[in-house]
Amino acid sequence: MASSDTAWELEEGIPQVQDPFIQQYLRGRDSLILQEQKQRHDFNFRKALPPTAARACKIISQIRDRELHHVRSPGSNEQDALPSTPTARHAGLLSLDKEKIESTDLWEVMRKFPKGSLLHAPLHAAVNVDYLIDLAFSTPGIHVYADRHLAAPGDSTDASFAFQYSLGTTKDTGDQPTMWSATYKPSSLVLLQSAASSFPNGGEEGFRVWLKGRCTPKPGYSDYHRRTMPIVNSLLSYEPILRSCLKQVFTDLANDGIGYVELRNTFNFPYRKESKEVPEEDYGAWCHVFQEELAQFRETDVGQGFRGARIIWSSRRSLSNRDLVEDMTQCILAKCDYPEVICGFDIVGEGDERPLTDLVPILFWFRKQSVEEGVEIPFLFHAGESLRNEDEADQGLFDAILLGSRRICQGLSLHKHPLLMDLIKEKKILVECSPLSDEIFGFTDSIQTHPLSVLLSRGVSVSLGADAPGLPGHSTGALTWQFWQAIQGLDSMGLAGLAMMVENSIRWSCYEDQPTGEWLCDLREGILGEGMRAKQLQEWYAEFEKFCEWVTQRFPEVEVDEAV
Amino acid sequence: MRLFGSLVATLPFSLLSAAISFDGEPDVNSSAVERHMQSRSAMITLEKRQRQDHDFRQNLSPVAQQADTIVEAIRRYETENYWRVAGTPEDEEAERFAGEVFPKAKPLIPATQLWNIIKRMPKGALLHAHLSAMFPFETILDIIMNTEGMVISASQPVLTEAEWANATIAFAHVNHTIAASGPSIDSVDYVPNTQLPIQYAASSFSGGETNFTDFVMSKLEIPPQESIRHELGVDEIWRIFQACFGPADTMLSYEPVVRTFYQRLFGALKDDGINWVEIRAGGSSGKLVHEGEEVVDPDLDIWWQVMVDELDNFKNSDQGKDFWGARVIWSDTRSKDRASLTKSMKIALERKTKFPELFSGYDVVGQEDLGRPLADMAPELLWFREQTDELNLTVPFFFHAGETLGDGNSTDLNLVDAILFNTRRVGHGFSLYKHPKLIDEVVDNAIMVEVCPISNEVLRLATDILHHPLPAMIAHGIPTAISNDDPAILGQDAAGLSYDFYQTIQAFDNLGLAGLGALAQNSLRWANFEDQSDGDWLRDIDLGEHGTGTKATYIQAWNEQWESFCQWIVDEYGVQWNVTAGL
Repeated sequence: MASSDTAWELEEGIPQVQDPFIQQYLRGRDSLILQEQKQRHDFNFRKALPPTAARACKIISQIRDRELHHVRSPGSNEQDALPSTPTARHAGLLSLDKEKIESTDLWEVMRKFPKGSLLHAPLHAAVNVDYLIDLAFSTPGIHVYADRHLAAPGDSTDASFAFQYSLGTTKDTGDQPTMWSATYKPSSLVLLQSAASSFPNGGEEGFRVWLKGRCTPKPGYSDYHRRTMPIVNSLLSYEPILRSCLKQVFTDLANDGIGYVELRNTFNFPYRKESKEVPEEDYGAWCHVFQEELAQFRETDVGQGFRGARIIWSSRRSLSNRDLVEDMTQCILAKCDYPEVICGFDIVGEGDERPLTDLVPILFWFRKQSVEEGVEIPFLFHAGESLRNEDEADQGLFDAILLGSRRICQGLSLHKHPLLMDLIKEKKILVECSPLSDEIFGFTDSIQTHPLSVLLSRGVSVSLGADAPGLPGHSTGALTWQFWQAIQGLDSMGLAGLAMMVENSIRWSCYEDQPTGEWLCDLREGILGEGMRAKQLQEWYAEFEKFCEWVTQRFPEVEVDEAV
Repeated sequence: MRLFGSLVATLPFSLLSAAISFDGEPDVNSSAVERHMQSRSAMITLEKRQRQDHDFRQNLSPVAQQADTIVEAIRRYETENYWRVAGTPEDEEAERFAGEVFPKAKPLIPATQLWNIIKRMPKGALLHAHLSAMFPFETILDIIMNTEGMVISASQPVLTEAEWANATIAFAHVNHTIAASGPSIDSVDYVPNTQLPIQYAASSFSGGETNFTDFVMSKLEIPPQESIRHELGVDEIWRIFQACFGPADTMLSYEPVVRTFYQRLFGALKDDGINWVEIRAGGSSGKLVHEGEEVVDPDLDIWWQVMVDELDNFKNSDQGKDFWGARVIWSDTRSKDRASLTKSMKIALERKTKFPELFSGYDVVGQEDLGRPLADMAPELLWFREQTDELNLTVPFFFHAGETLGDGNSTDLNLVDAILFNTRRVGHGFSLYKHPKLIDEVVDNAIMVEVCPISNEVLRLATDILHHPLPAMIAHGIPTAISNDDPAILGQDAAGLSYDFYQTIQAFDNLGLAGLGALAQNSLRWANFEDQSDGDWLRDIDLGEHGTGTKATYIQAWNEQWESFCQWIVDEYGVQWNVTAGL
């Protein structure tokens, strides 16, 4: 400020910032802010940061601000500017300039960041769609069928359509009508290649485009589970494809800095072994393949640091009680035969189908059966999945807590419930948030309007997941995108906030089967415990330390104020 | 999907031969299930006790309870049968749902029964609205068209779409004759800033008055297609939004127009069931040209004198006899630097001395994200407080704060300063729900949040009403009331609160008529009817209808309006919705 101004101000009696009572005001302000920060999820974590980590946090925060301000600089060409935050609504995110973001320093850092466990990832969404489609074409004997013909335009966009392996029908398909013709016999198998070449809209090339469209979520449409998931899952129910996809998924995850994953899978198609027309009666063979692939992967170079993967059995909420009992029975059977594979149980599907309350009796039945069979299959429920349909008990949140869910997936409406937020803190329930996926599905807008920041300021434990396929740059790491978005979009996040969430993801991993008491005890002990969890935490802290070291060396030019 | 269901069902299960056998069936009446259901309802009840509207709900009269039930039945019916329409692949735009974006929903709202009810509801006080954007511009334009000597000018001829978009316009009054001839605003020969008589400007515009009106309105309103483009972000929409205020202010400068405007505005508010209004105005407004003149009167009091006159005139009219009044919250733009802000504060203090009843409080306005944060203004604000203490004036703060998507940025932290400066209410408080400690402070100190749902949506903070933090605020016990902010620019296109009330009740299951009633009553509990010390202010909020002062009288009057409104609902809709007494 010019000195004449100061003189004028003094003359007018306008207080100066250095005046004692202004200083007193500012101290009061700091203390109020501090009181609030004490409630934040990462308050203790931040306080206990070792010096290198604290320095890395500051460096990264400067890099973030630098890139944020760089893109917000006035007059910057809107076309050129990197979006300061992915504020895009719906499909907008997919049109983000991926290459530009991937060239930023913040991206490089996020890519390298050790991300702990991925706890929210449906298998069908983890599979790379392009890879899957190529696989379908290169695998012999893959057929397609639909529940009705898809001759009329528009029919093919949301009609039921699925894949199946078959030996025998190859010779008939030449003269048989495909689903694109009005004379198609519903549910009859058509060889994939014939279906593709006869696709009315551009033959095989057009078919591939259409299929890819069907395999990626359509923003704003909440019918993902009905429209898309069956296509991918039907392909994954054939051994050779399952094996290849598992290899690909494990590789992607490990490359993305993830050490352990719990994949949600819905077993809604009968499983077929390689070259077997007749499906399996249960999912034992599926679990066997999963175990084998995991073991093989861990032998590879990429898989060295990969600590494991388990399956959360996910039944569809749209099923009738009868079908649900059968599905649960399959789950318990699989658990008995392959206890290491199955780690939990969930109910998935569109929010407007049967609410959790409706399923309470059958869930109690499931629990009773598990106890009788002597298996431990904890609940890891989806609840509060949308802001769009508020109902009295907000989409199962009350039920999930009362049913003893160890984690809650989504919890988008949780922030409207002060009592429930207190309860889940008290009961040590983790919330699996996936803001980026929520945006892709059109559940929420930008990261800035996502309830995540409310949960964090309240001290709720959260981990980040990745639930939607077809994320921009999927093959280069879905979780990296998620992390990048969270740190870029939220002023209050910072590296420490992310690291806290990674710690949570490890702490709440179901590495081994534990009864509730032991689980809670282990959670509380954290890194000081004696089990698998404590060991993983120790290893991660070492990795994190190394990562922070790397940050300080990688960006020596960033000046950091050393005084804390 | 039936196909896949049956596929699963026909899987050749051979459970009977498996080693494991399962017995029993899920039992809806088992004791475990019953216990679960009991705990569940206990939890829900417990949580509801924390809600800010809990007391109001507890004290509902039987008639009000009946009305609440009826309105819920209507709301549910319309959600399912009127709003729920699925789009088709051919026509995705046909998709319709309760709570969808306001610009899409608005034309559909008036056909609902719920709308008829909300329109009649007694709404208490309108506490957050900016003077120049409170009343539909089309009506003001109409007044101007019928006022002798009004002219319009444009900054450039408007031939192309780009010129149409870039041009700025200004209205004025002239006391000399300007020929109704020459090139029209949309002709090549139009010389920038040439004043044309308004009637002539309209008739010479190609497409005549209709197109001219479209052109003028495009300078004054955020077009619906803009307001839903959330991907372009907050700053972009604020540029469009703030540009509207320039022409809007020139519309309201000629005394006869201004006087008519006040009569129509107060009339429209009264018709909408509003009895009291606190208007944000000040710093930038206040340029008045007297009847038959063309130069602004430099007298700084004249603008306010006209307002006071017209308020009295209205209150003395038939329509205005139950209208309790209006006050002004002096508002300076937050972009002002220290010197000009201090200057404007002095003007404010002088006006307060001259019109003690009119001026209710002080605020700073304009886009929070880009303006000076409150912390930066701390010296001025503390100085201002010092001055009011010395002059023995009561000018409490009613700060805008937290109108942002940020979490931890300076706008977000304005909430901290607003609270520390003893603000009596918070304008918007959109980011408050992310702050547990500040929530406690706001609840403990009885600070109310003026919530503007449509404004927050159109200015791209909330995607749609369903994403608004209002339910989170109510659930945490934060006092709130509904306001409309800038209805003439933001698309409500009607003075009054009906659209904002409608959006709110339609969106949230946990609210209902009773919850909306609580919000309306809140608006009176937190209205600043008269100058009060902080202690008296808090006492009257605390006592509410049980007090002895002005506030209690008005709340009691509203309670009567509310009861007869509820009775009307029961009489009008009770039979149709099969809700009768003795529930």
